[in-house]
Amino acid sequence: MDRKVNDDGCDCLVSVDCTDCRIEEPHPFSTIWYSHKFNGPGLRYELALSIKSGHIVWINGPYECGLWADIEIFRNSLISFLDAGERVEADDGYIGEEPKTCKTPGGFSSRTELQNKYRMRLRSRHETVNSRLKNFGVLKERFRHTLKNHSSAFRACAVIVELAIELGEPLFSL
Amino acid sequence: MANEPTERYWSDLGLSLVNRPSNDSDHSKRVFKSHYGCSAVVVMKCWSLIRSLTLISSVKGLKPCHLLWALLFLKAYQTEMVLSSTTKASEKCTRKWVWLIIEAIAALEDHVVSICLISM
Repeated sequence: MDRKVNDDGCDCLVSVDCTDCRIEEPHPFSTIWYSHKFNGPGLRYELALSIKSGHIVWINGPYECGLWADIEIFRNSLISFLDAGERVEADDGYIGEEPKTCKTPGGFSSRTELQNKYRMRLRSRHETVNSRLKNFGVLKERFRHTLKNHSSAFRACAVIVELAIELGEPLFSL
Repeated sequence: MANEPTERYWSDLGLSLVNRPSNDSDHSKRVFKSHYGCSAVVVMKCWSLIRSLTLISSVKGLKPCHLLWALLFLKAYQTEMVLSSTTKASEKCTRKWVWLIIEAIAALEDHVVSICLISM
């Protein structure tokens, strides 16, 4: 699904966030896998949703949780695919890219009450996609297979969630 | 594509696999979704896409129930021993089809999820 569907000329077309998934402790032990969310090893994926259509338009990962902060993942890949002047809606983890490529709640570009409420709903909607993904036990529980298999499992779940959004289970409107 | 399984076919097949009665009620739909993580319509679309866009259809012995095995695995994430007692197949056979189908669904990413990377 194209992120420019229903584009009305706004500089923000997508909302971006990362989600962590538990894995078994890789051997040998290393802190590069540490996820502060679980206080244990995990893999991190970046997801982007089209603001206008509510479809998943980007999946990136997996990354080692202890090695890659959300903003580093963004800088590593998605940032290079944005158009000139285009920005993304994100949480405060991305404040280092404010205001050039990100809009964050803590940034100075978020001023009016109405805009802040809209952005809060936008980020809440993004969390519902993470929640739908975590409805799959393979992403919710500690992953017992190889790391390569985790990437396939995550992408398969994301494809199913996106198909469900397309086929009658849309996200709430903003 | 001719002779594509219908939504009702997937619903009946899915519910019989988990030993649940099948009918058109909302309850049946909820039971289906709680076992497979998505509705029968999504399964129908997914089957159609993986058959038309991936190489999975060239694999000998592929059956619709294998897609349900993979979805059951993704949703419940049971151990292979537990899953194989549901699928009524050997652990080796279950493992083979589950991961083949998961790889095929994941390969749909470029078709289903795309940011339209090239600016025009």
